[in-house]
Amino acid sequence: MENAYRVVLIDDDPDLRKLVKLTLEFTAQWQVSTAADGAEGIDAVRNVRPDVAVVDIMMPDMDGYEVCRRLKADPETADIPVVFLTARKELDEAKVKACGARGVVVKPFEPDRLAEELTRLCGEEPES
Amino acid sequence: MTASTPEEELLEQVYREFREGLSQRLDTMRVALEGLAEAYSEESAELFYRTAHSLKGTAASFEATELVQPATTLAGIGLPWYDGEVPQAEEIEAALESLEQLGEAVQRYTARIEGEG
Repeated sequence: MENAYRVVLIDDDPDLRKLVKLTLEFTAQWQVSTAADGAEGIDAVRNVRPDVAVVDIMMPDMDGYEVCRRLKADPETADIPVVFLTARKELDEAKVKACGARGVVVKPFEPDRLAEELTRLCGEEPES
Repeated sequence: MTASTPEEELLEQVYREFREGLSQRLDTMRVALEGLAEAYSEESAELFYRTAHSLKGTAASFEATELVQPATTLAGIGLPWYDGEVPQAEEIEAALESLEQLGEAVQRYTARIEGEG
């Protein structure tokens, strides 16, 4: 990956989207596109072809696991790492592994360390 | 937070929008709860739970520590309803009380931030 990652952030909370977007743009100069739900997010990933998709798990209509499954099932997006940004309590480790996600960043995240954490996760191969 | 650069000003604006949106989140939960008190509906149960759950994670990320516990309590109360259980009267009462506590926490958080500014 290049230094200036392209990111698609999919989260239904507008305040959190703005915080994450600005944080990544300011602390790491990354290019961040955002989407408010799973369907919009999948379209954004197909269009942007980001270095990483950061996805909330609990969203209306389509949860993050399903978003990840659909991205991994599509040959055009299957190689794009998916990282969940989620509360620890809602985390289902088995589902994370089964859908092919690269890893998890637990809310609350530390804004100054988010880019570093995503870089670390995307630099690692998923566990087999 | 006192902004001194354009980036900091933008971040400050995001934090301000979060604070200004808190009353809307409270209203959303209150309306959903009032609906559930009258009759159970999946829509009200989902709206109540999702709003509390979302606030829990977002508040923590915005360092609004005062809000995390009451939002967590409300999400905990609402989860069984989201899963299809019809709320009992005492559960609605507990949720209303927790919502009141969340409102007080919002006031404390706002006062703290304005004091820091």
